[in-house]
Amino acid sequence: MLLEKFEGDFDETTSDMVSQIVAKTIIDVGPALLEQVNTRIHKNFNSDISECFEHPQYLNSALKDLFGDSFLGIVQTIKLRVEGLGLDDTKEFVSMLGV
Amino acid sequence: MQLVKQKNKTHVLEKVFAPYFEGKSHSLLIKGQPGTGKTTLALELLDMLKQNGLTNMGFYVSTRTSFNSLCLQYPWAKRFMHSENIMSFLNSNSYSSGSSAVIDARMGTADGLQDLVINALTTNKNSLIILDSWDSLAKEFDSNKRIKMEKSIGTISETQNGCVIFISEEPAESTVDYLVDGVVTLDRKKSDAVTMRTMSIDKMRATEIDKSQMVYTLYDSHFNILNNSAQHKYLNEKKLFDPIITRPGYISSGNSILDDILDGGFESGSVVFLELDQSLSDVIPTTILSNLISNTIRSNGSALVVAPPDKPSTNITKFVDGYCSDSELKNLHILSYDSDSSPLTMDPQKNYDIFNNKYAQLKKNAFPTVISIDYGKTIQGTTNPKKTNQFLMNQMRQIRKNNDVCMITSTTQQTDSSFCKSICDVHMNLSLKHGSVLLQTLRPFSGTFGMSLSVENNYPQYELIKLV
Repeated sequence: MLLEKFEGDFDETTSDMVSQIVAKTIIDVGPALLEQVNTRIHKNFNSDISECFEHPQYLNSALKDLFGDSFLGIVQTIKLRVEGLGLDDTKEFVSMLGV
Repeated sequence: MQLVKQKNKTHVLEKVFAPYFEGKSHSLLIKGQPGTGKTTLALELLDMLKQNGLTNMGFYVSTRTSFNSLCLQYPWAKRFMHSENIMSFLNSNSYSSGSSAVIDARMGTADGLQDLVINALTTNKNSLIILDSWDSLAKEFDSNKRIKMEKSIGTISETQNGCVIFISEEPAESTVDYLVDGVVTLDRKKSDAVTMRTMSIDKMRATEIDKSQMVYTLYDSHFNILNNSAQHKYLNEKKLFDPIITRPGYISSGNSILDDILDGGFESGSVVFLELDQSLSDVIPTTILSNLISNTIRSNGSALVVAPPDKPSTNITKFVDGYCSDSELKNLHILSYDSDSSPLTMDPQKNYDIFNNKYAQLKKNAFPTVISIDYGKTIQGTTNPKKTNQFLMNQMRQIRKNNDVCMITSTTQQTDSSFCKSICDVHMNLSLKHGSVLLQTLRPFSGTFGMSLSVENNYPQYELIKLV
């Protein structure tokens, strides 16, 4: 009921929502890991988690470097949560994230 | 046997079992798989009966544990069991009258034990004997002798005004099921990392059974049956809510146990998602919310509640009014459809402006604010999930920036609340199992707790006990 005001910039919202989901999922694995993932993305790609919607491959690479094979579980959780949004414009992100 | 009732004693165990033992019941069978809490229940019953003067002498006959290991597992049992009262086959009369005796039967024979039990019952009128476990004692007999022994013990117990508690791990019905006055089965199931324990009352002769299945927990080595009262008792006298001071950077939930579970309360800047089972009474989430509000406004903070369209603002105020001072209540702001000033309307944009203006107004001071919003009825006002989520995104940004706390409630049926679940800082779930309210903390995961309402301090509050 409080929402009808929002009409505008949906792409930015999707990007925000996805980066929030990614950040929370990593925090769920271990609160200190978020900083590590962010640092890795920054070091390798001069980017950060807030841009992971536009560049899922950066996230994929950082998770793989840091977690080895267990990155699959984290990616799977991120994908499930992003798919839970039911938004069409997340499909490309989900497919590019891998697994 | 008449139970001497203690004033104000509301122990659920007593509520369930006192009427049974007050009557003419002389035997009880406790059944269940290993680890379900049979011994714990039996010892709790012995303690309860002794405290209420219902039994003079208690005997705990063990075929598998020593007195020392029993005391290690149940330190509270030392209150009514003493090492000088350990009985064996060699010194069966060494106990002192009035205390409870542990009979170490691990090395004994069944025949010897039969004599010991019958001797204990006949020489001590009005005594209670726990046979733990009856299976291991009875397996040495053939079926005829077993029935004869069970009948003998039952008859002597009755004539001596005593009581025998049989403990059994045999899942199938046996002869003792038919001979005893009451049968209780304990069960344990594990699902979603939760150990759910249920007690079924299969029979209790001459006793009215209100509820045949109950949830219990073995927290702190006690047999705690969850209270299932879903209403607060009427309060004649109201008392000001006693605020909890928590550590810097945190806002207290208003409940010290929940604060401990969350390692200090809600971290400032948190979004709390409280998911509700649809069958739950409104009183449960309202009590959680009112404790958070009372604690905050009694600690110089403010609260902003967006009431759902189908609930009047009095739903909240009746849980806070009288428990906070008049000046503190000025810091409680309720946006509702029945409000006199700035009521919510059917125009969503206007509602959003009312909300934003109010929040901005509250943020002119530096005090923390708690916000409560009903997701299903207030936020989810559109078919476009992006709009819903965009509102949440904006809201969360503000909450985190201002170091406030926002509690969003939603029923489990609101499947499209998945975004909120994914990104909230605290995710709790309230559900109903066999009439008992369970609170599960999913993020951070801290387990499942039985929740019961209380007015012990003369204001509505709740108690939590961990399911183990």
